[in-house]
Amino acid sequence: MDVFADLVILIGLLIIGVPVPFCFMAAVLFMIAVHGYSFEFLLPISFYGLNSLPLLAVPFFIMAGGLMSSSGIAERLVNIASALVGRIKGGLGGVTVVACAIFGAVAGTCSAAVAAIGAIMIPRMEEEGFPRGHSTALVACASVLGQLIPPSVPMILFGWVTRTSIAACFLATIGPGILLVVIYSFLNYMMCRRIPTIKVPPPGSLKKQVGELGRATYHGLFAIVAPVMILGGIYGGYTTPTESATVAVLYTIPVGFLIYRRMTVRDLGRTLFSTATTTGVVILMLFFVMMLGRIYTMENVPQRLIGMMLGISENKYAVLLMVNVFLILIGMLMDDFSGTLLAAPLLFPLMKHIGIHPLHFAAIMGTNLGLGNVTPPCAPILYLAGRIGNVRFDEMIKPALIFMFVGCLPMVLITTYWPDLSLFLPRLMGMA
Amino acid sequence: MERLDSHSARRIGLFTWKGLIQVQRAVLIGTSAFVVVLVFSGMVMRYIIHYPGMEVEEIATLVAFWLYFTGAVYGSYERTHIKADLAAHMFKSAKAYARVKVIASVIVFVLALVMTYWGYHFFVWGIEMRGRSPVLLMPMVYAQSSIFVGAVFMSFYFLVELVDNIRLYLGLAPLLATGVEE
Repeated sequence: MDVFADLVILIGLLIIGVPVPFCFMAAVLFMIAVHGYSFEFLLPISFYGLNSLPLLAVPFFIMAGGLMSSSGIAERLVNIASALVGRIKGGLGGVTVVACAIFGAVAGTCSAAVAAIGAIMIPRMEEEGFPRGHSTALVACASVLGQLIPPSVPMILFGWVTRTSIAACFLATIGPGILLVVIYSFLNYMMCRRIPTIKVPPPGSLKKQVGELGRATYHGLFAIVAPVMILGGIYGGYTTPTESATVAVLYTIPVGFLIYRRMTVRDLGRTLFSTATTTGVVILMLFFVMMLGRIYTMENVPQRLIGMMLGISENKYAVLLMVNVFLILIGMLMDDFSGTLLAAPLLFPLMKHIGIHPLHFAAIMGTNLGLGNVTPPCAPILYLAGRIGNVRFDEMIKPALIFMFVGCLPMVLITTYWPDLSLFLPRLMGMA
Repeated sequence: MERLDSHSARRIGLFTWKGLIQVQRAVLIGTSAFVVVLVFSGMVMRYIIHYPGMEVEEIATLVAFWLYFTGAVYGSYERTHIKADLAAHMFKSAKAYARVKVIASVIVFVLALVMTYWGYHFFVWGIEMRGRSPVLLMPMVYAQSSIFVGAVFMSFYFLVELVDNIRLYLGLAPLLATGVEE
C-alpha cells in the first residue's frame, strides 16, 4: 500500500509538471515520513554513489554528441549514408534511418541524433517532395537508433544501476538496432510509394554510384574514424567507455576547428555548457533515485513485486508481456533516462528470478523505453523533432503512429521473445 | 530621488542576475574541460609511463560534483529540467493551466528548500567528520559542499519561476531577465 501511494505521488506530480528529479525526491520524502528513515543516512549513499568514474561516461558521451553535431561530422555521416542508399524513391527516408544509426555510433542519446540529423535531413527531404509531417515523424522515430547503436547513455545508466558490464550492455542493443534499421527502411519505402509528391532521383550507372560513395567517404574520412575509434577502443580492450568518450570529445574539437572548419569558439563554449546542463539535470535525478532505490530495497519492494507478478501468472512469457506493458506505460509517462533509473532496479530481481539474462533485460528495457520516447502523451523526442522540423503535432502524429506501431513495436516484441537477437554479439565477444 | 533609487536597485539586480549566469557558464565550461582533460591524461599516463594515475581519477570525480550540481542549477535557471507536463494537454483553459503551474512551482520550491536543508546538514557533517579521499587525502567536503551550494541556487531560481507563474496567473507580465526570455 505504501509503495502504491508512493507511485501515485510520483506519477501525480509528474502529471502536473513538477520536474522529474523532484518527483523522485517527493517519493523519497513520503517513504521517509511513513517508515521513519533519516536523510542523514540516505544522503551519503547518493553522494558516494555519484563519486564514480564510470558514471563520467554520461557527461562525456552527451558532450561528444553535441560536439559531433556542431563540428560538421554529422553532416559528413549523412552524406555517406546518402551515397549508400539515396537513389531509390523515398531513398532519402532510408538515408535518414541509416544516418541515425551511424550517428548513434558516435553519440549516446536520441536527442543528439534528432537535433543533428533532423536539422540536416528534414529540409533535404522537403526539397525532394516529402511531406514535412512524414519526414519529421521519421526522424523522431529513427532517432531511437541513436541510443540503440552503442554508445548509449541509457545503457550506461542501466549498467551502473544493475552492476552489469556497460560494454556488454552496449552490445545487447546492436541486434535490435539493426533490425529497426531494416524495418524502418522497408516501412518508409512502402509509405513513400503512396506519396505522389516525392521525386524519384535519376538513375545512375553503378560506376557513377561507386564514385559518389568514394567521394563521400573520402570527404567524410575523419567522420568515419570517430565511431571506429570509440567502439574499437572499448571492444579492443584499450579503453573503458569513460576513456573512449573523452577520446571522442578531444578528437571532435580539432576535426571541427581545423579539418572541417565548421566549429567556432562560441559554438564550443555553447555546446560545453548546454551539454553540462543536460548532464546536471540527469545526475540530479540519479541523486534522488539512489535514495529511493535504497529505501525500496530495505522495504523489500522488488521481492513484493516478484510475488505480485508471479501471483498473476507464473508463465515466463506472460510475465515478460506484463513487463513490456509496464515499461511502455512508464515510457509514455517519463523519458528514457528517468524510466531506466526507476524501472531497472525494480524489475531486475524479477527478471533474474524468471531466468532472463541481464543483457537480454538490458535490450528489452532499451527498446521499450526508446519506443516510450516517441509515444504520447510524454514524448520528448517527438516534440523536439516537431520543434526542429517546425511541424504541428497533428501533422506528424499519423505517420509517427505507423512508425511506432508497425515498425518499433514488432521490434520490441521480437527483442523480448527472441533472446539470441540481443545475446548473440555479447556471446560472440565472450561477454555473456 | 526615490525613482532614481529604484532604477539603480533594478540595474544592480540585473547586473547581479546576469553576472551569476556568466559565473555558472564559466564553471560549467571550466569543469567540463578540466574533467575531460584529466581523464584523458590518466589514460595517457597509463599507456605511456605505465602509471596507474589513480590520483587523476580521484580529482576528476570530485571536480565532477561541481559540474553535476552547477548543471542542475543552470537547468533550473533555463527551466529545462526534464518534465512530463501532461497538464498542458489536459487543461484546455489557460487560467486552469496557469493555476496548476502555480501549484507545481510551489511544490518544487518547497522541495528545493528541503534539499537545501539536507545539503546544509550534509555540508556541516562533512566538516565535522573531516572525511578524506582515499588516494590524495583531499577533504571530501570540497565535493560535498556542491550539493548545498547547488540546492541554494536551485531554490532561488525556483522562487523566481514561482513568482513568474503567480504573475502569469494574475494576468501580469513575467519578471524581466528570466531563463525563459533569454
